[in-house]
Amino acid sequence: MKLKGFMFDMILSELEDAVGIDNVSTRQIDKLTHGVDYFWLARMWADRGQALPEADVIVSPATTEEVSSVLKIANYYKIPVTTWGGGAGSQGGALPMTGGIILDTKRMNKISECNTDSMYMRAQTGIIWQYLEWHANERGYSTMHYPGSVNCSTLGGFLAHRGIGVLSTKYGKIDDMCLSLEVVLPNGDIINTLPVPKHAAGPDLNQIFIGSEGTIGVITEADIRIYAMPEKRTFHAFLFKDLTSAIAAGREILTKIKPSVMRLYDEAETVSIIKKVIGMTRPGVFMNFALEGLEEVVAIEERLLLDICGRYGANDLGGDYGEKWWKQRIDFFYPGHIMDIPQMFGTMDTIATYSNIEKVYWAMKEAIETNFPMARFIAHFSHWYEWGVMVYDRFIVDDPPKDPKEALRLHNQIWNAGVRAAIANGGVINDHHGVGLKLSRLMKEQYGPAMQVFEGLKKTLDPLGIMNPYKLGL
Amino acid sequence: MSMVAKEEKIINACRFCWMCRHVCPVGKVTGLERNNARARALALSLVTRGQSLTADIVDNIYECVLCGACTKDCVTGFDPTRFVKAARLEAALEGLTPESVVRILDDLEQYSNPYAGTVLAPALQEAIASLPQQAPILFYLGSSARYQNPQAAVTAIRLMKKAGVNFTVMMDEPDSGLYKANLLGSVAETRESMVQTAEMINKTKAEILVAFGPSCAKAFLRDYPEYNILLSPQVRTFTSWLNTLIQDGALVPTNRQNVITFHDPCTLARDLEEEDPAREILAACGTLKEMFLHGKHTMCCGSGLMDLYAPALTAKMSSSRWNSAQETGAQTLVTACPSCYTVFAKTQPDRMRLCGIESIVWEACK
Repeated sequence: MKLKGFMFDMILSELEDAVGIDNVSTRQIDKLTHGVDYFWLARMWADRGQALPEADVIVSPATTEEVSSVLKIANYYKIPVTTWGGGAGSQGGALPMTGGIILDTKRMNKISECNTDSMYMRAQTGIIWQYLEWHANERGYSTMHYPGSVNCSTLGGFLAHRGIGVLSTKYGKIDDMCLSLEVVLPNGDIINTLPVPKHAAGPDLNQIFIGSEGTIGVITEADIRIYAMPEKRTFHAFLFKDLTSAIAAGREILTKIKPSVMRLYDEAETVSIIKKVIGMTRPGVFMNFALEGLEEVVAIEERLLLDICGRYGANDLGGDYGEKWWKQRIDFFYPGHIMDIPQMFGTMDTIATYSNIEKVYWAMKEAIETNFPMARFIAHFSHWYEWGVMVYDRFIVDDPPKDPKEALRLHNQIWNAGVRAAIANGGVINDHHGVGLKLSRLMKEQYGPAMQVFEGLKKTLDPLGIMNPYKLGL
Repeated sequence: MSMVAKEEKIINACRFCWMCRHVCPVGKVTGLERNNARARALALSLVTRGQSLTADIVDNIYECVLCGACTKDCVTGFDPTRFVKAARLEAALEGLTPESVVRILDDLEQYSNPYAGTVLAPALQEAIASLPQQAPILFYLGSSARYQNPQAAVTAIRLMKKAGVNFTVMMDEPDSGLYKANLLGSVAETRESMVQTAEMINKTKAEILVAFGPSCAKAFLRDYPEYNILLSPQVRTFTSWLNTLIQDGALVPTNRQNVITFHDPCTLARDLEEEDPAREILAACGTLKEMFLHGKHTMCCGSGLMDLYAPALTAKMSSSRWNSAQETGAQTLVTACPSCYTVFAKTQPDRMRLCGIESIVWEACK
């Protein structure tokens, strides 16, 4: 933001009038804590003592109307607005790259309705997901959205980047779980999508705003599905000979039954898992399943699962690993359990049809390992559909360059190589972490001329380009 | 090496991790990004990398209520309260302690309690004077009960007498040292005051020490051993002691008409992992309706100590708990901590009743 001094203070007083004096901050501590998210480059930048992206002012509205007022002010003065939920995104999507306003949504944390007839909860989007889940649990239900960042990310954050949880194979992604949205457009207008997600009333407004990463508006409320608690949840693990047979088994399984969890690990990841499960190393690929629902339905599904995996030559490793994994499913997100600085790392989650997924996996692996011998490559396949599967492939560089600019360059080169390999083989730029700043430059390569649809939306809804600049390729 | 640098390992672990955000009672009510362990660690990580500790950072360090929820939540075992306390100490050494906190420290120095309390309420003096000077059981009231909530202390003493307990209360009770430990961290003066308190308690020759406030119980059971300070008597929480009296038939509640909800004091439910005794007591006195986030998931009400230097923040936290209490449909909120009681009393909504656990039992036993 270029405004300084007298004019800046005039704008501050308008923002204070809109949301209350206690909810507008120019304190350094607030700027700092909104200058680093979960993006590796932001973390490295902070670790190496570099100047961080810095907002001019942090605004914390509590209502949709207050969001509207803030956007009207920002629109009038042409001030950039970056929406911040939990800040736990890995793509740099919430970083205020051009300063301006950080619109922190966490005061918008109210649940206004729990509708057990139609099985949804309506909530403001600044609510931490764990609270939504606890409130559902208190009434005997669950959201069934269990991502690793459930403790710290907001409903709005998951919607903004199309998040996913570990039970997605049965219950879907966040975009499947959302019935309806309230959105504040960049000009301050408050709009609602249709009350139901399935209709023949033109294109799906929900799906225009879900995944838009704060570039064309701010999602302020949402109706989110809830589910009955399953009578039974049971686990089964198998060791398959190779990825090809395991993926073929997974594809057939989904033509007959619907597991909630399907997690297939490549050989590199299997090495460490299998040792924990059977106490020794064995070649092959490890796959863990969960089945859940009514007990008698689960019993039938279990029989079919065992039959199919048996026909593909898999060894049944029982349910102990799965039980333990379930209890510790988010532990990996805590420090000491996951890669961290000084390592360089990235998760290049992509998705493709069954026809392409192995090509994508091998192409990405080759692109990373051949071009960047200092990088390790591991992967698992953890969100499955009737038509394809996502691959959660990660690169790790244990000893990245000390110079921050060199480290940034290497990081982006690895990402470019991996994502381009995916796109060239039928994969997509990302499955469930979003685009953000990290992948923004690759959006045009992904979409080609189709990108003009998004650009048109952006020009119409945000003609001044104030909403989350430099993100999503917009 | 600075005090903050000594905790660099924890700071580096927490600076990019938000996993305890959902349990932070301060962040929950303010919605501010700076109110969580990650934000404090991030700021202090810059200090360990050569930037100055600023008043802005220190202010945020004092917005931590030190309830320990983040510590309990961390599956890796990192303890963010350690760097918070280290930063408070560093701030004191650099003259950056906020003025509102300096005033409390001065009061602690002058009066041995943070409430500038000098004279006990006459009813409490009378109640203590009626007890033997020496007894096998020492009932430790704590500064909060003595100076902020003397009626609760009087009721608790009456209850113990009604149960026929042979106990005493020190007229000149020393401070547990907890306040200094929380406000200043681990300094020599903290240990010194704890040693003096332990010596005075040990001199009473009591076999059992019943701590009225859970925070005092936590100090005696957790902090004293950490400072390698020996307390001779066995330490019991008031709630576990009271429950024993009821279970043994020494107290017989007969009025069970109350519809109650219970605020678990965070030190009791999390640090001391004690949830059941209070619930058994309340089951004997009425019908218990649990609040959203109870037991080990309880949210701190704001704490009596923070209320002294950040009353607006404390009021937000206690109001949030009152909202949860009202949502249960109960008309009475019971707490098992005199300090929590004081905080709750300041934001008590109309049509809701606030009661210490000693009072609800006293009423039920009438």
